[in-house]
Amino acid sequence: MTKKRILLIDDEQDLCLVMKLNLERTGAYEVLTAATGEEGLDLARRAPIDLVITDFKLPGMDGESVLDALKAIRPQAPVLLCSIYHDDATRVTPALHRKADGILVKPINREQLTRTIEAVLARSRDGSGDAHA
Amino acid sequence: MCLGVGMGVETTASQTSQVDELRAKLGKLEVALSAIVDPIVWIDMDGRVQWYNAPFRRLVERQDSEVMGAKLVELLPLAEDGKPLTSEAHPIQVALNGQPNAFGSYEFRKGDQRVILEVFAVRVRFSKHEMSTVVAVHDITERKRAEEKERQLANAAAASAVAARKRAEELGVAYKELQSTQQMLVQAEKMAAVGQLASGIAHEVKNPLGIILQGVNYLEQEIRPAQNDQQDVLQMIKEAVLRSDKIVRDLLNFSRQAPLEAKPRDLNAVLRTALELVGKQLTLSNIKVTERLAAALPVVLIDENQMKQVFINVILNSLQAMPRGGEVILRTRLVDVRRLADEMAARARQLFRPGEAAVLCEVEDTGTGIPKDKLGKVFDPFFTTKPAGQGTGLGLAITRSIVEKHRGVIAIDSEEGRGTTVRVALPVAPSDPERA
Repeated sequence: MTKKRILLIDDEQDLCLVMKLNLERTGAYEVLTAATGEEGLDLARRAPIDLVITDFKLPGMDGESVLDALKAIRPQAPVLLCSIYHDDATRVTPALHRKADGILVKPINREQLTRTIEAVLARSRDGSGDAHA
Repeated sequence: MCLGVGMGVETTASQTSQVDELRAKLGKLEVALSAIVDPIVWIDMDGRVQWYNAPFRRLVERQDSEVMGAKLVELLPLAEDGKPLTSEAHPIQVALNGQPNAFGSYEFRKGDQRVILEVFAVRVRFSKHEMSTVVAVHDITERKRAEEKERQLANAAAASAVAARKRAEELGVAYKELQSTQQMLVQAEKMAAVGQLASGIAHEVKNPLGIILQGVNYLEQEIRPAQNDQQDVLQMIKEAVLRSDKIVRDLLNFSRQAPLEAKPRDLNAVLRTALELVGKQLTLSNIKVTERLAAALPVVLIDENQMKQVFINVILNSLQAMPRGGEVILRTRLVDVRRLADEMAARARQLFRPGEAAVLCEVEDTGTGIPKDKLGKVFDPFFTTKPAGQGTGLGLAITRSIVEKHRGVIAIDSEEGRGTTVRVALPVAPSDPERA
């Protein structure tokens, strides 16, 4: 089975690193990391991406612009949005959350992360739908 | 009138001389009695006038022929508390009926004047068979008036003392209301401050928590299950992370601004409700309120409670800018967004749809105004011109945040020494509120 390529965009580089360790340890994923939206988009343009996990709050280009740009570059790749709001994230930026394929609420544990990724990838293979952790 | 001594028998020279002496004495007595300033009258046993002095005639304002032999109770009809006395209660009649002395204060009408009289009626015995009653009258109208005036003044003083006490109580109540409103506002400002702080903390803390959590997850798999102590420690770290995360979440929940519950409302009505809530404070601060509210304004989609808070904040700022009183003018009108003042126009163009109408509300005061160099900062969180401890500097920041949540625009215009005008423009609700 070929590994799925995941792009992680978060300015907290240690978080990217430790998430990468956990995801790659499963043997199912190959993880690319980026500290800014621009950097992430650059990576997405250069290599095929199966799934993107991006923070909502980024320096420079904001989460929504990154999301829009990713959808333009890799329309097939689902995008998971990280948020700090646990209860009703859709209340904060409804439009943005509708565009995302799923929400991950920080702090994210390993089980929650892998479960959400698996669900979103399965759905993206089958057709469409949202995943909310 | 004269005091006659009837002598119907023959008299000797000696008797004639005694009679002359007696006549002379009587004449002197009459002169003396007439010299008394107070009216005096005496009456026979039937109550008819037998003698009176000049002051008595002046009192009753009658001719001599009308006085002599007339019934005194008719010449001097007395009243008490505005009610005429019955003949039984009349002091003269009381004396005639056998009471040796009758005394009291009574009213007597002299033309259209009310005269207060002190009346003394004394029964006297002239001989074994002849009884009479002497009535002396003293006009105490002036004294009574003075007493009445004194009483009125005392009553007025008592009434004003009562009014002052009532006013003090009202002030006390209003002060408590003011304190409670202030506490509410301070609380709201604190909440907003906590909200901003919590949001900042959440962003800053949640990432390190994520790193720890993911790190622990990684180590859990790397350490062999047999190493129980290490697994226990990792479990403890994980639980501590979750506990810290719960604290941050609780803080966020506690402080996050309530979501808008917007409904179509008449802005004039909301403004008037806000005004009612601060009305007493305005009155006590000697601030006149002038309402120039446009009639039949279209409704706006607003959260009534939050918009009320906006107007309370703005009006209370006006109040604090007028320590010696002044005027607050409230205006509302329907405006074309393109005709808004320059300071609002740019923002309005960004927020409002092309051709959309807005309801504009202006709160103008005649207060101290804001210096030009500070005007640009008044909406910044934690900016305040109030003394330390009296404002957190979040009032206008919250106000702006509420207005902007409504897709509205707020602007402030001020001239030092002349006053300040705060303008709030809110988009008119679409005819179908579902589309808003």
